[in-house]
Amino acid sequence: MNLRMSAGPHFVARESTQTLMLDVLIALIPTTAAGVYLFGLRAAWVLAVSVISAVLAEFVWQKLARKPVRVNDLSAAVTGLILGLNMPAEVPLWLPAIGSIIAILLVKQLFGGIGQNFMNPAMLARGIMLVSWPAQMTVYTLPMRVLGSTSVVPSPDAVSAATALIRPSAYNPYDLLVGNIPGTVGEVCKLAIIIGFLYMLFVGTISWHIPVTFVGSVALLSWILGSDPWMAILSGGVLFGAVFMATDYVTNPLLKVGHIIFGIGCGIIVVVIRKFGGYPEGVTFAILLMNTVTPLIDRWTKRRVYGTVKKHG
Amino acid sequence: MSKLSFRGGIHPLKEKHEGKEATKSKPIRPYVPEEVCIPVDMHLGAPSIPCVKKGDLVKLGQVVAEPAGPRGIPVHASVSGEVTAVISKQQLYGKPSTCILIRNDKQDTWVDCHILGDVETAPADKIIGAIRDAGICGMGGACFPTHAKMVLPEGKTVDTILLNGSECETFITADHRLMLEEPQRVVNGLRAAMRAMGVQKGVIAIEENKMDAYEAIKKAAAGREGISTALLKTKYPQGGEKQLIKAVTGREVPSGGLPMDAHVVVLNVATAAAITDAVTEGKPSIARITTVTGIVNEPSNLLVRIGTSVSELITACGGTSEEPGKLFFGGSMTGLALPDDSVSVTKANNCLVVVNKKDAALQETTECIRCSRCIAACPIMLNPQRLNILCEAGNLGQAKKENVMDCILCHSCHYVCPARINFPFKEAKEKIAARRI
Amino acid sequence: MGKKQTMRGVFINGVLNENPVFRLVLGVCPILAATTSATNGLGMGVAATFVLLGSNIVISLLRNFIPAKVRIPAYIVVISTFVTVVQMLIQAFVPSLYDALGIFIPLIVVNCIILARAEAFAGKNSVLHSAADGLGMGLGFTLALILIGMVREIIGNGSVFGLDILGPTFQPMLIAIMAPGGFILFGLILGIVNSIVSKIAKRSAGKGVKA
Repeated sequence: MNLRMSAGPHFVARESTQTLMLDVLIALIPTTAAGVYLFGLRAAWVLAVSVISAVLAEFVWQKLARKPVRVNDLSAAVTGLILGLNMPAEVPLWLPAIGSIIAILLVKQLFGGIGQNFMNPAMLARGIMLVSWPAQMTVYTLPMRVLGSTSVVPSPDAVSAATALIRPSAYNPYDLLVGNIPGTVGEVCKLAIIIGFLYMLFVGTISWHIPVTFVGSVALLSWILGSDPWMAILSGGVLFGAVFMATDYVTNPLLKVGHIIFGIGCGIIVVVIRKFGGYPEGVTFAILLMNTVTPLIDRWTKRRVYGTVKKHG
Repeated sequence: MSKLSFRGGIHPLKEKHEGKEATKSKPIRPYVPEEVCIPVDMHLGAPSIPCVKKGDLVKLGQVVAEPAGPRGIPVHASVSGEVTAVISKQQLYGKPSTCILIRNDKQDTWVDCHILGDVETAPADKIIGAIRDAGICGMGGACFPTHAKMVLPEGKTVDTILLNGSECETFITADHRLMLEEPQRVVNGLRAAMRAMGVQKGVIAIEENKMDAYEAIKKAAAGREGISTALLKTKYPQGGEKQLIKAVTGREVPSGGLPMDAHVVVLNVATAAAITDAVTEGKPSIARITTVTGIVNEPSNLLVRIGTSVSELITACGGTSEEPGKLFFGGSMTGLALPDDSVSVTKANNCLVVVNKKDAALQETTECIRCSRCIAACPIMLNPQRLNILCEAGNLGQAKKENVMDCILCHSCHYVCPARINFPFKEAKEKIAARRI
Repeated sequence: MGKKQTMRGVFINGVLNENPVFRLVLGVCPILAATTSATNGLGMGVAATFVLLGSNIVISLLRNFIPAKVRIPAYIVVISTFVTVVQMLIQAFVPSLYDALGIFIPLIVVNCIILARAEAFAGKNSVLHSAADGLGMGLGFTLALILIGMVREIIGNGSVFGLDILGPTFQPMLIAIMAPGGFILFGLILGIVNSIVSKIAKRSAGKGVKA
């Protein structure tokens, strides 16, 4: 009889890195579908290019570096899709390709691959592109199609427009909620993002702490500083960032209390950049900045170990 | 009724009803083997010394190995018949054990049993001695000699005896069936232990996935002096001593301490039933209830004689439906894998699980993605993610500073890890203990 | 220093084995600030080389007269003299470079390479050796700056030494000529150069064993 000897546990949980990433992809389906519907086939091309080049970049690197090829853990696909959803539909198609390569090679693999990157790959790639090609990265267009009856007129010819953040009062709350506004492919349809959030909460991919504290602190701070809190949440990329990018396991703190600090920190930085900074939106930089302080948050937040007396200081 | 629990922990195999569905409604049935192979080192501590030789005729319950030292316990013949050999044989792990082989004559002729009397009237000062003479050790899996637990060192006090009926481990239903079918034996054993230690308070704690057993115990405990019941949330490792004490009494065992430092002694329900037998009938510990489940054709709860071989148990349960890939004693979280099927059932083995080739396959370990599931799962509030990095880097000094020695090896972190990381805390603890870092 | 090095050895050492940028990683501030283009890199390199050469020679000449306790202030005085000369020369003859490098020309005074060579080499060695060291280090520094400057200029501006080479369709990656891009590309080039050098060293070491 050929029996395998091993220590417990002899059965493990169903979740693996692959299933967790798959759950994120599933949660992104509504957002992706809404983006493609609103911005047309062009958006689908952007997403396809970013996903394919991210997966290819990871595959080629792992082959060249003679590492085990783990493209099927889907993490590169998630990075590519999130990056694509972070771009306007009218970007030239070489941009998502370059962005994915930067995200996978520079941010992820050069630091040691999955689990080792200190910033969210999609976020840093977007940050680099935003600084490098500001013109192309901020060509926002009105949606080609709209969802539901609305005051917004669809523009099939991709008329460029300023991001809704500049003048949120031009749109009514319904349009802001379903995404009949100019913006990046993924950030406009808030309804789809909320569906994805609820899905990830339901299957336990993420906890509520970061998204809720992030969005909550943006709303609260905007209100304190005299803006409409609903407009602050619904007009920009806060919701998408809070649900899909700030919750990246690798680059956020380990403890729940750390998550809350992280979320509030992101919220404060977003509002500060929006109010006083040079960019209309600050979600990318807020998350990147909080990514860099994640090790510090982990160091400062400790739990009392069972049977020990709480250490002070 | 409020359900008691602790922080952290997991719910293993939730979608499969903790693996207990197959046997939870199977009544206990006795199984008598043709031959037994009784290891003399079943309990924790120095092995007992064999006092029979080949060719001796032994009666059921006769002492076949004498205790070594005051903390040791004797070993008894679990069948009557002829001693066919005293050999050295590989058991679960470590060095081969000395084993006594007895061929069963199927007569079950008992030795003369010394009966102490009813649990309420038996002389209290004799009970601990009777427990020792009956060879009782912790039947929840640890197999620590029970009498040694009940004799407190100078200066220690205990005010509560906790009876652990949580059975939080997967697959096992042995305690469940015992509490359901023989609640009086369990309650009587607790009374005997309370009287022996002079403790006024006894609590029987049961997880809520065994409501029928809880009701049976509650009924049996009604009107008994000092005994109460507690309903626990279904959560692993609810049956860990530290977690159980926290859940029921709200106290914590100090780091590096024992339950008695929280003024509690924890006994398993099966141990309590064995105490009842020892006190009221004078019968030693010669059999135990073992759940046999997995890919066997008839998953069962068997009353097994100590020393029965695993292959006989599998045959008694109708054999397996496909070729086994792994066998393990205990639940799936902390169970011990068997090298082969000739190993004997000891006093500690509450469950035998037979796993097919597919489920036994090795799961590849990938990179940590910092998902923090291990941190949420740790019932001791450790940071397994960081401790893993420290242990892998060989930085055991820092790992010790960050409380790796408090790890109870419950494997919750390993269970939830999506990267299938094999957290090396057992090795780390052993190395630290050996090197006195 | 155990054995007496030849002047050629000292020179080569500065360019390759102990390249101040890629091997010693000294003077990162001007490396990042003055490599936004190949021209700027060249200018900064030449300026630093001039100062290195001059200060190494003078400090070596004076090495027996400078009391050990005040040697650092003395070195600084010598170095800043040469820096002032360079600054005035650049301002007079290449005003565009003067505008581009700005504050980083006077900051050569506190450039670690120059003070480090004064302290580690010129203060202990003969004039000719010190001159060779200054030239070698300066050349190594200049070559490294030109390399980094070229890479950053190509990516960030599509040109080399101001000559447009990638055509009008190229969309430059602006971050390459900004500070964060400087850090990222410096890190990448440092890694690539060191991996190439270590491969070559391994290969020649292998040959040495065989021979």
